[in-house]
Amino acid sequence: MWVPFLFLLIGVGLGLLTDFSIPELYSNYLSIAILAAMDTLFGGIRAHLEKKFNQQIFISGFFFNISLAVVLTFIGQQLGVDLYLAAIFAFGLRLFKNISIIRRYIFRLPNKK
Amino acid sequence: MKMHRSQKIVFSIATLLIGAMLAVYFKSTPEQPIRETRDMWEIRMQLQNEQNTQQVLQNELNELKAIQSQYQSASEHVQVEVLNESMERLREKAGLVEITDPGVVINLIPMKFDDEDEAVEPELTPELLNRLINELNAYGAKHIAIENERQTNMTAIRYVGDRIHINQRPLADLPLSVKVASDDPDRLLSYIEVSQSRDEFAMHYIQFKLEKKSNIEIPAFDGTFQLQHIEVIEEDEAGVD
Repeated sequence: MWVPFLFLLIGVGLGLLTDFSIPELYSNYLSIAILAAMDTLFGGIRAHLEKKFNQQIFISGFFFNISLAVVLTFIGQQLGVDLYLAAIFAFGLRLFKNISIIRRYIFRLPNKK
Repeated sequence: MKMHRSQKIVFSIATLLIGAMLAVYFKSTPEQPIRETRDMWEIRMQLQNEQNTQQVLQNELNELKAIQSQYQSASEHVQVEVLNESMERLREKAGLVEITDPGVVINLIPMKFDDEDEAVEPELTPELLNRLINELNAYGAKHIAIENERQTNMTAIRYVGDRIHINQRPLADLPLSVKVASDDPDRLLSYIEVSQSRDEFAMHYIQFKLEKKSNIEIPAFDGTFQLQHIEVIEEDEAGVD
């Protein structure tokens, strides 16, 4: 379980070390992409705990969700409607749900259902 | 909680990506601290300004220190004399003393038009006068009076109703004379001749007629200053350290 965590740190280090930064204009997209990625990650962890993990679903979901969120944000910005709120809402809601389920597994709390 | 090897790899790559994105995000967003956009020249100018200010303050400090030492060293009689002297100087600075000094008189007269049909009413506004006074001060005017109304630091030029009031008194109609005392009237005169105010007054159909005089009488300010934030502290041991 600690290998992914290590990779998270490596990722942060890589991001900080490489002199790569995006313009302020696109920070919106990046934040929404991070949210989407986190949502998929926690979804994957939950699926793993429920022993329903499917690698294809995880990988496709990871990239598809990120792209969808970014595209939604882009369209929203073009239309002048804050569509990214929809993405934040959906992802945020699911994030909390997934984390609560993960919590039940980790602390061996009784499941709601 | 055993993980498949490939599963682990997928998770690891996902977290790696998230980590990298997070790092890039946090590195990108606070990218806009206030940037130094002034060039060398501007910075040098600013430095010079500050140095000048420092010089002025230093001079003032030296002067005050000299006065202080006079107070401390001299006998009572001299002390009173020094006190009177300082008071007189301060009164002069505040505009409470009539001044006779070389200077320039600016006559504000309505612009003449050859053709009577084209004549336009000149329009004097408080802003124009304020700008003129600012400019005169910048050019080294020491004392200014507009139509015998002494301009002090507290003087307000403003509309009351539709008339311009200076020192709470209504200003007469054009033509008006602005008296300006200066240490260097020649310089002041040439400054006024090319001043921006001259153009601005011209835009309002008011002409400048400039006269240099070796003796201008500038009346004293005869009102009372209303100082809102200053009050006298009455203590017995005032002036003793």
